[in-house]
Amino acid sequence: MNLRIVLRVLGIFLILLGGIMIVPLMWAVHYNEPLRYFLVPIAVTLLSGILIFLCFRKAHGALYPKEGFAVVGMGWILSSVFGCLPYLVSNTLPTFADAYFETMSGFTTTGASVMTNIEATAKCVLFWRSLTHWLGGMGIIVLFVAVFPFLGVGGRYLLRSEVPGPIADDIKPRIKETARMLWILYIGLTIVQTTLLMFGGMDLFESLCHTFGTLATGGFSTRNASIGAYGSAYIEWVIIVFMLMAGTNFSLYYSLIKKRWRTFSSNTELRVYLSIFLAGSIIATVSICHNGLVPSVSEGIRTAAFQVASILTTTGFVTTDFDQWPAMLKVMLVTFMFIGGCAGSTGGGLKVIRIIILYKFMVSEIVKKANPGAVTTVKISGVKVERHVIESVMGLFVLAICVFIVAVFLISMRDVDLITAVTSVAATLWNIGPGLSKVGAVCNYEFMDTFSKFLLAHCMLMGRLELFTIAVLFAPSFWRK
Amino acid sequence: MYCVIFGAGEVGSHMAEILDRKGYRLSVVDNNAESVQKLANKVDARPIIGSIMNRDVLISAEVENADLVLCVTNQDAENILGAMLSKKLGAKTVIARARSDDFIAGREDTFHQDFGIDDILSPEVLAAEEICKRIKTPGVSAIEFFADGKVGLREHTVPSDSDMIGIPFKDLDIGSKILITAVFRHGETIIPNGDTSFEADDHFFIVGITEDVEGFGRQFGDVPTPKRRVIIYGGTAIGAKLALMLEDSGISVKLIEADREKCHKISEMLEKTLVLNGSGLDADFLLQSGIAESDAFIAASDQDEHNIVSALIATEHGASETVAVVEQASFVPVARRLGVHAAMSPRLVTASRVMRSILPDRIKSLAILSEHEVDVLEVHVRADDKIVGKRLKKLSMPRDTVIAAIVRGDDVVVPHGEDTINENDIVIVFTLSKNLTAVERLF
Repeated sequence: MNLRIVLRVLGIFLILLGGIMIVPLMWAVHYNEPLRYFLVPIAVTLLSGILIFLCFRKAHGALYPKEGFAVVGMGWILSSVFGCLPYLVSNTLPTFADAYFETMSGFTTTGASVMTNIEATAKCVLFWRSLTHWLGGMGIIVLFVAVFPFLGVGGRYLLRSEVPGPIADDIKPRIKETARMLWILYIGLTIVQTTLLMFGGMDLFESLCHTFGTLATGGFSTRNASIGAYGSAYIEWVIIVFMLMAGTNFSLYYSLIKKRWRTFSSNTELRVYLSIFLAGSIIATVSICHNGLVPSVSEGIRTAAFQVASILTTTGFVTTDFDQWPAMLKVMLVTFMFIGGCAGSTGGGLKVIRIIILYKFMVSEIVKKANPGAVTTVKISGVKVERHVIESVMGLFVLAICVFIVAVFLISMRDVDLITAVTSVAATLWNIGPGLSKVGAVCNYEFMDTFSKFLLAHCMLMGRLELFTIAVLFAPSFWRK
Repeated sequence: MYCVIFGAGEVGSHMAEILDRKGYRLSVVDNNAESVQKLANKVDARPIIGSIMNRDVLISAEVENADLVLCVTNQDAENILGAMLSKKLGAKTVIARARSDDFIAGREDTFHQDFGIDDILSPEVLAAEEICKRIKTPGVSAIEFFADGKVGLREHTVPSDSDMIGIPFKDLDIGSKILITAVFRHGETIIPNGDTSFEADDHFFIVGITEDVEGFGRQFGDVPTPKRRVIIYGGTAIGAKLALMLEDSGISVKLIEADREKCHKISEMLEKTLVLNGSGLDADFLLQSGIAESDAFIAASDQDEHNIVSALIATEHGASETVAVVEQASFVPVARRLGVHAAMSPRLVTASRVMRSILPDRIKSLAILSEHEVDVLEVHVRADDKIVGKRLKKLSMPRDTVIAAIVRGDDVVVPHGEDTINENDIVIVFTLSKNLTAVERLF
């Protein structure tokens, strides 16, 4: 491990982070809020970045996978450590545990909050809260690779560890071009959704914050009652559509631009993802209408589609307290938490493609047991899935289950009920936000103790970086020369 | 510049590394997912898994926008068909690799251009040609001629007892007509300046007017003895091709091959060459075949390690020139340091040939020397170049770059600080490969 080059890159990374904080500063100017809320964090972040960079500016050598993992893992932790400064300086969240939890929840696009009265918070801080979503959604490291092309091949390792999915799509020859194209698509979608929300009656500030929350599949709102506060069918449908779009592989949008319809329409993962959404929405609609939880069928469809899309894409916006839903629907929603969005999207979860691979692998094992001597191949869209891909998916699945069980065990020691323990871990590990019971749609994580908050914050980080990136940091052999 | 490489094998990987270093945007396509991924971890290239004979692959590789398409899979037919397809789709320059020489009649042959392929290269044939050239021009380990033969380049080795060791080049009396342009020491390349001096066992390149370069060689003690007896180990494509070329120029050739079946085939192909069935790693057998009396021993089997060991045995027993063919480019400096007189990598030879085909018209890459760190360029100076009329010492040259010679009409000038570059000059530039773009900007 070449720690010096890692620190050098991280120094530059902090300078970029400090620079980005100028955006919420401008909102502070706009709303006449105290400038020190952001001037202090900017100064601290920039100075730390410059200091680290100057100390290690002479470091040289290439970024290999090890260094790549270290940069991504430490880069995310550092962005939360420095990104929580505005909460501390503005006294929105006075303790480090709370501020760190909120920032990590932002960057990992989880949307789990410890804030009790969001509407009373300074606007510039709220903007930063939503901006962390937006940055973390497409990936702060991806942005870094796009802006600083000097990383060369090393940039590819960084991108691989941050863009989710078992198989990487390189849509452009050079890695920095791929990173830039992803950000351009992302910015394009942001502009479209912000405009649409403004037509629905939101002002620029709220449209931007909610767009950030939607496209990053985050879930932070500027209202205490989340999207439900607006009571507008138009806004809800816009957000449903954009949540689904954010949960789709972004490289598919590139194929659309390039007019490669077949690539788009024949994508197995997209089809399965949309089928799950449709099936889930229909089941939920029938169930809530049958149980009389909604006044009309049209509202039933909208409410069902919104919660299903929100949980499946791991966004976490709510328009109703789904904790009141029948048990069967709650089980379905928790299952959807594990599935998540598509590979190469901003969504969390295991990713639909991995579920497909695991399912087909399971079927092929059953076929083999039933027919001794059978030779099977796991295929997706007629293309063979390589053995090492299956192995890495299985590895991730096993690791996810282990982390999940250990985390649930640790949380359940802190005097909470079983459903709260299970769903708080599921909702943070898979970057959704709201769970059930005490962490349900209308509650938040404020009541938890410091230990639980740190534990869940790191669950979010592991989920966002798909576990292995963080897990390797704990391997002793990783740090050896 | 955008380049698509079909085939992530030995040649493809090597070309990808060179082109990446030269600032090309790259896509690499191969059926074998593992080799594509491995390559993408080494160079900044988009990996695409699939075959050249696939519509979706050709579309996602954006072949139509490519400035260069290299078809270097291990299937000749795929390469040739793929190159033709790419050209049809709009690729600017397409180059195919062919193992067999069915489509290549010689260097000047242009038959392939009639069906749209800019160049067909066979690493095996190119390597055989290269070795043949060395055997026919004895006494030096590398020789090149530029500007229609007016400028010569030779590689020499500094003997450990040479009186030139330790003297700074500015005080060295080598005449003003030749220039020491590159020194290789312990695997490192140095583009020398006036204060550089030789150490024992350095390799170096000199450039100058052809006669002077040859004169220097004689004075340096490289007495050229014509090669009469050559032994080749390995009945491979390279070995057989080389034997054919050498026997055509009247040199007595013996070819050693361990496999009896192959021996029969080769003896059918060749006219005068004596084919011997035995192992190139067997010292006794080699001695019986006469390596001690041979003028050159070329190890060209399909095993790099065998070639190096076999060439070392030959060196040990007194063969006056030994050449090992190694596929792995990284073995070249290793083999030389072990004591093999010269190592030849078909891949490097192919790479240098490809580079020549793709530079802008006015700049020709003449050679990529010694593990491709050094480029030799031939630049045709135009009236509107910013270099015109400036004194050389006033130029801000990129690091490790030397203007080795200026060809002006029929004259060759070995330049000094006071010289200027004029319109219509042909300038020969030596530079480390990583500075190539800086050099292009100089003009």
